[in-house]
Amino acid sequence: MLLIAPVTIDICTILGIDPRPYLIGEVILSNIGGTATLIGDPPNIIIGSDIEEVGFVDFIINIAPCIVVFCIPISLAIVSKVFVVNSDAEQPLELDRTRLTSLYPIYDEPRLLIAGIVASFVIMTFFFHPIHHKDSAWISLLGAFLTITFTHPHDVQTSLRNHVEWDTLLFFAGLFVLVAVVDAMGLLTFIGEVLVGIIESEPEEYQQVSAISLIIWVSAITSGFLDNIPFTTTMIPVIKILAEELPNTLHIKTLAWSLSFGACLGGNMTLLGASANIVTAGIASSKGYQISHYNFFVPGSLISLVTIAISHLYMLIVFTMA
Amino acid sequence: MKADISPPEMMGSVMRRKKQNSVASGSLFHDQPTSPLQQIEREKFSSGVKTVVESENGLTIRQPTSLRKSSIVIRKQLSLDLHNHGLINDLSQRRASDIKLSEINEEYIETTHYTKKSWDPTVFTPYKAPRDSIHRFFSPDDISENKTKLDDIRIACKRDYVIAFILFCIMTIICGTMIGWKTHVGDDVLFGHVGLACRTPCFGDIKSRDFFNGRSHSFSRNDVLKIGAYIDPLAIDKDIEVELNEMTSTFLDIDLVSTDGTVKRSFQLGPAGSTRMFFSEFIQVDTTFESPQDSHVLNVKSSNSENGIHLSFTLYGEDLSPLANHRVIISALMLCVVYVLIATEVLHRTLVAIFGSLFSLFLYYLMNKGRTEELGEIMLHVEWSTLALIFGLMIIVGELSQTGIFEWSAVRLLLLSKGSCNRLMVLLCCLTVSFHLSRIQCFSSLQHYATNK
Repeated sequence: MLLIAPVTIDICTILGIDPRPYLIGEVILSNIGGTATLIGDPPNIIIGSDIEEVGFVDFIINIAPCIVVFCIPISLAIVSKVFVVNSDAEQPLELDRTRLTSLYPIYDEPRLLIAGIVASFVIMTFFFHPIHHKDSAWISLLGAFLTITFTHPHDVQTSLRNHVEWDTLLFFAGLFVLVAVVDAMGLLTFIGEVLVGIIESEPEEYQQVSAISLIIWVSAITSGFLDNIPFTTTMIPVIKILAEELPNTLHIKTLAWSLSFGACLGGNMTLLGASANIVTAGIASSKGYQISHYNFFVPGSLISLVTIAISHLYMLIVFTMA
Repeated sequence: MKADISPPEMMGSVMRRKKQNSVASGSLFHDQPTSPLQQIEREKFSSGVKTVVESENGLTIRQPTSLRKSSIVIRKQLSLDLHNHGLINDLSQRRASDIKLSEINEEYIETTHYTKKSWDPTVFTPYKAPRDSIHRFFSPDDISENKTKLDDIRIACKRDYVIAFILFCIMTIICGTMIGWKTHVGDDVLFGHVGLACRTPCFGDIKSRDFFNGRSHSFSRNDVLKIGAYIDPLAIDKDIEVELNEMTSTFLDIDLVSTDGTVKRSFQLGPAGSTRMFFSEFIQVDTTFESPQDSHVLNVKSSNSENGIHLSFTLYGEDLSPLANHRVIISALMLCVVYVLIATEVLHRTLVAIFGSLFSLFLYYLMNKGRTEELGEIMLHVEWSTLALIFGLMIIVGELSQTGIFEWSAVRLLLLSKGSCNRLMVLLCCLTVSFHLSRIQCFSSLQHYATNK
C-alpha cells in the first residue's frame, strides 16, 4: 500500500481528479485480498504460526475460493456504487505523448539508483518471508538507513523530517498502549469467556453453527473497532479451549477459518480496523487529501458487513453440510 | 477561460482572490534575510522572474545558477499545481505558449468554507496543500517545451553507477544473509525468560504464611484480587514424552484458602503449551470472605498431575481497588469515547490516541491503588516491529518519491493505456487488483473534463 498509494495519487493528479475514492477502494480490497493467504494479513500470520494444524495450503484451499469468487467482485461493485456518478460513455482521452513525458522526467537519477536498488531488495526479502521467517522490520530498517547513508551521508534530519509521518507512528504507539491497557483490564478475556459460555450452553447439534456464527461476527465487530492483532492473539487460546472441550462437534480448523474471516474482513469496517487503513490515510493527508472517518466508514462498513455475511454463509454451507 | 482555471468541483467550494506576482519571488524563501549574499541572490532571483514576465512570446530564460538546486522542488510542485488548477487538464489542446501570462501570474489563495459538515461519504474535505510546499505558480518557462533541456535534472554518471553497484553488493550480502541464515527465536536459550519460581504441586503453609498471605496490609471488602501466572509452556520433566495437545489441556488449578482451612475460591489458569504465557484471574472479595484482613494461602497444582505432567510457573498477586469491579464496563466505555472522538474528528487522531492511552493508564493505576509502572515498561506494549517496518518503508518510499519515479510510472501507465480508459483500468488492475473498482469514477471524471473543454 505504501508503494501503490503515491502512484495512485499521481495518476489522479495528472487526470485532475480526486484520488481519495481510489485510495479507499484500494485499501479495502487489499484487506480483502490479504485474507486469502497465510501471509496476507497480520491475523492470518498469527493464526498460522500459533495453530499447528493450519498450513499455507489449507488457507488457499479453504479461504481463497470464497474470497476470490464472491467477496472481491461484490466489494468491487459496492465501492463503485458508493462513489458512483454516472457510467455510460467511454471516450478515449487524447494524450500528448511528448509533452507528458517531458513534463514528468526522472529528475534525480543517482538517487533513484540507490533507492530503487534498496526498495527492490527489501520487497524481494518480503516475498521470501515464508522461507526465512525473519521479522520484516529488520530488512526495512536496514534498507532505510542504508538509503540515507548513500543519499545524504551527512544529513539525517532532512529525510527524517520529510519522509516519516510521525503522527501515524505515534498514533499506532498510542493505540497499542491503549489496547494493552484494555487487555490488562480484562475486556478481551471477558469477550472470550462470554463466547465460550454461550457456545457450551447450546445443544450439541447446533454447537458448530453457533460457534462459527459467533466467532465470525464477534471477531469482526471487535476487530473493526480495535486493532485486530491483539484480538487475534486473545482469541486463539479461546478457540483452542473450545476445540479441546467439545471435540465431537468442533474442529479447530473450522474455528480458525471463522476467526480469520472475522478478524481480517472486520478490519475494513472503520479507518481504525487495520493498519493499512491508517497508513494510507496518513499518506493521503501528507499529500493534502484528508480522508475523513466518514469517507471510509460508509463503503468500508458496508463492504465488511456484506463480505462477512458471504463468508458466514460459505462457512455454514461448506462445513456444516459436509 | 475561467472555467478551466477552477479546480475540480469535487474538491469543494473554493474562494479565490488575485494577487500580484511580485510576491512570488520574495516569499518563496520564507527564511529571514540574513547575509548580504542571500540578499543578492534574492534580487537575482526576482530579476529572473521579471525577465520571464517580460518575454511574453514564450521564450525560455535560464534561471540564475544559484537557484538550480531549489528549482527541482519548485518545478515538481509547479507541475502538480497546474494540474490542481485544471490548467494542464487539456494537455492536447493547448500548447504551453498559448497560455497567457496573465493567467499564470494570478495567484490563488484558497480559503475553504467549512460551513456545514456534509455527511455524504463521497464529499471529501477540500484539497489542502501541505504546509511546507511552495504552492504557487513559478514561471512560464517551466511548462515550456524546453523543460528537459534545463540542467537541473540530475543524470547518473559513472560514479553513481559505481556507488549503486557497491550498494547492490551490500544489499545482496544483507538479503542473502537474511534469507540464508537459519536463526531461531528463543526455543533453545541458556536461561529462560523467567526463572523457575515454583513448580506444581505447591501448597502454601498457613502457619508460616509462606506463600501468598494477603501481604502485610490486608485487603478489604470489595477489593478485587488479580492473580496472574506466567506458565512455562514446556513441561518440567523432560524424561516424560509429553504430547502437545496434552500440554494444551493442562491447566494450573489454584485454590484460595483462608486461615481456617476452607477453600474460598478455586479457579484455573491456562492452558499451558500455547503461545500465550501470561494468564490472570480476577477475584472479587465479597461476603464469602468472612475476614478479608486475615491471611490467605494459595495452593497450586497441575490439573493433569495424575498423568505426571507438572508445570513450572511464576505467580503474582495484586490487590486492586473496588473500582476494578467495573473494569470491563470502564474499558469498553473508554474505547467508545476514544472511538467517537476519532470518528468525529474533534481532535487529530494521534492526539486522541495518546490522550486516550494516558487516561486509560490513569484509570488502570487508580484500579491498582496507585501502583504505577515505569514508562519503559509501558513501552514494551508497543509493537515495535510493526512501527519499525512502517518507519523504514516510509523513508525508502520518501526517498523514491524525491526522484520522480512515481510520476514517471504514472505517466507511463497513462501512455500505455493510450488514452483509453478501459486499457488504463486493465493496466491499473495489473498493478493492484483493487483498481478495478474505480472504473466508473474514472469515466465520470473524464466526462467532467470533457464538459469543461
